[in-house]
Amino acid sequence: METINNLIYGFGICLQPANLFYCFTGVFVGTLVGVLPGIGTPGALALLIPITVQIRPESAVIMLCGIMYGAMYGGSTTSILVNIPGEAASVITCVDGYVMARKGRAGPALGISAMGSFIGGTLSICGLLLFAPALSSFALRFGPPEYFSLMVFSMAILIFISGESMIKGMIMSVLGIALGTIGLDPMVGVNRFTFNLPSLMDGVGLVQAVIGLFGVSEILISLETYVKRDIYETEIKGLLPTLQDWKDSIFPIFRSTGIGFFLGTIPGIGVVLPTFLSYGLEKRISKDPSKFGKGFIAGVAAPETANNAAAGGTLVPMLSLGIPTGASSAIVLGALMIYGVQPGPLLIKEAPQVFWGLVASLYIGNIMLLILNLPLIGLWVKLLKVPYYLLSVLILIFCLIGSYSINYSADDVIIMVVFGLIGYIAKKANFELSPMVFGLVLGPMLETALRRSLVISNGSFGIFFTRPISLVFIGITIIFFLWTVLYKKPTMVVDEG
Amino acid sequence: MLGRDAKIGIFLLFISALLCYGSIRLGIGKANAPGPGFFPFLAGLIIAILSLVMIIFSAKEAPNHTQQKGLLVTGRAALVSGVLLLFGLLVEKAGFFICTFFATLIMLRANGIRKWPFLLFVSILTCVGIFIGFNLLLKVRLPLGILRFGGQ
Repeated sequence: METINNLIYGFGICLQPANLFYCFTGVFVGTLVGVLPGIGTPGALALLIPITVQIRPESAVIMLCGIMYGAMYGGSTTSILVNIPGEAASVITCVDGYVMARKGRAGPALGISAMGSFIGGTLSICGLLLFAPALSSFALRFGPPEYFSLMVFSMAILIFISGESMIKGMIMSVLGIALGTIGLDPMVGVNRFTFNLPSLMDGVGLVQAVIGLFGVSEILISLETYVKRDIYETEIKGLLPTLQDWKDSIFPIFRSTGIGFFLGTIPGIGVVLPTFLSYGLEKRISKDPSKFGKGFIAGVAAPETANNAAAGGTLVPMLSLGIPTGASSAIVLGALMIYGVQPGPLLIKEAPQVFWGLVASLYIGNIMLLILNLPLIGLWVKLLKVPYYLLSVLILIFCLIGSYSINYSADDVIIMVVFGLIGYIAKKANFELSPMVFGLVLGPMLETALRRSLVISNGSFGIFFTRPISLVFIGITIIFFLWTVLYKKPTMVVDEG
Repeated sequence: MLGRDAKIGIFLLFISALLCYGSIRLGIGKANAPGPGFFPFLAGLIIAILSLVMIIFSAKEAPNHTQQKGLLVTGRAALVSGVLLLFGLLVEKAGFFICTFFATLIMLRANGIRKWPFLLFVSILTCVGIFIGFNLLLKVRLPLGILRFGGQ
């Protein structure tokens, strides 16, 4: 009953005209980002943070989360029509989606993708409602050692699943942590590695760093690699799937919702892995696996449902524990801190308008996306035809103005460009960028938790092994590490291909 | 001949040494009372260990130089990076209009656009669009620089 009352309260917040506008803006921009290659969700989120600083925290979070799940919808459009995923979470959709488009069934592919996304997204909100408050109550038992172990665990998961080299992932996350130490020491207030630059006193700005890493570097790389975008010219008709399409898709949709949501709740997993797992599962349990890869509608429904369900799942640890699950949620988490809202177990109690407003907005946003996506597919296709040379320049100009407008400081622009170059070199050397963002966001929290733990234990690192919850997280991390070392030898990727 | 990863590893070793040195200067403290340099020192140490592992693994693998891309920023990427840096250095003095106009113009030209009327049209349109969007609608105060008339 209390949950229903809270949800009604949340709808009261979300249905305010201003918040409806921000929700619409978020899902619209998200879809746009998903459709258009070149910036990605983290970069788009970072670009919009300076604008959101002027509005109320609940409105800002509604808009930022709208971008997160809106991009999941948009990514499928390019996967199906162009065979180029707008988002990493839509990579596997290309396999069957593009073949369907070539066979003249682009409409049902786009339709089932939107429907699956809607069902997955909506059901994952129910999961969020169920698990987030319970997890928050449980997390109240966490002290600094438990938080430290949980953060180490989530970083380890992200490193294990991202990229081809575990060592490179680890290096990037520790480099991110090291960059996070720049600025005032959180406990004794000493300036660290600031070189007396005023713009570094508050630390490396997350927004500038992310715009550089994900926005600028992507464009710089694209200047060297020409990707031809052939939009398959076909009349998109019959967006509503047939009865047979539904029969083939409905169970994959429900199974993928479960996979997406539960994997999404595990810190570090993110939204990409669930799409591959759900596709793999459907292929494995299918009566005729040979249909997959040849334009089978379940091959579109499963990953598209999974990525939206996972996007909902990622909000559970973010809102209830204050632990991000990937680069995008790390940025939203950083944004919450900028707004003065502390994510974690006390969020629901201390900022109910943010939590319940966001939950209600997820329902409304998913409906908006369904309405937005099906009739506006023609518009997205037209946007895909905008020449990339023009688009890339406009994105760079937005990056410049966006980073300047954070503090009205030219130093921020230079910091952004430096991070752009770091991202460019890292990508060319096959280093993943997400662990660095993760480290940058979690670094200060990790440091505070470690130092407090050591003060509590009088300098003994044994505290992480003697407290049960902490021991569980550390234990799983060690098992993961040993398993990877013993069974999956870390291989250094020498070539780009 | 060192492979690309080995070179990166050596560079990272250098970075970790700087980090550790800076941390020691800040004061590492003791385990029961960690100082401001404690955590960055730990991070520097881990980077050093991981870099060494990377160098060792890289040495075991025969470097395939034909498949390795250079890491230096060259060509169009270098030109665009330069434009972005110049924008940061000049925006407050020269102003948003001039910097955005030239940045758009040069970057479009770097992208292979040769028609001057189109280049000028898009560059002016970008300046005006950004000004309306950011300055008028979002109330972001963009620097006018040398175009600041009448003490504004």
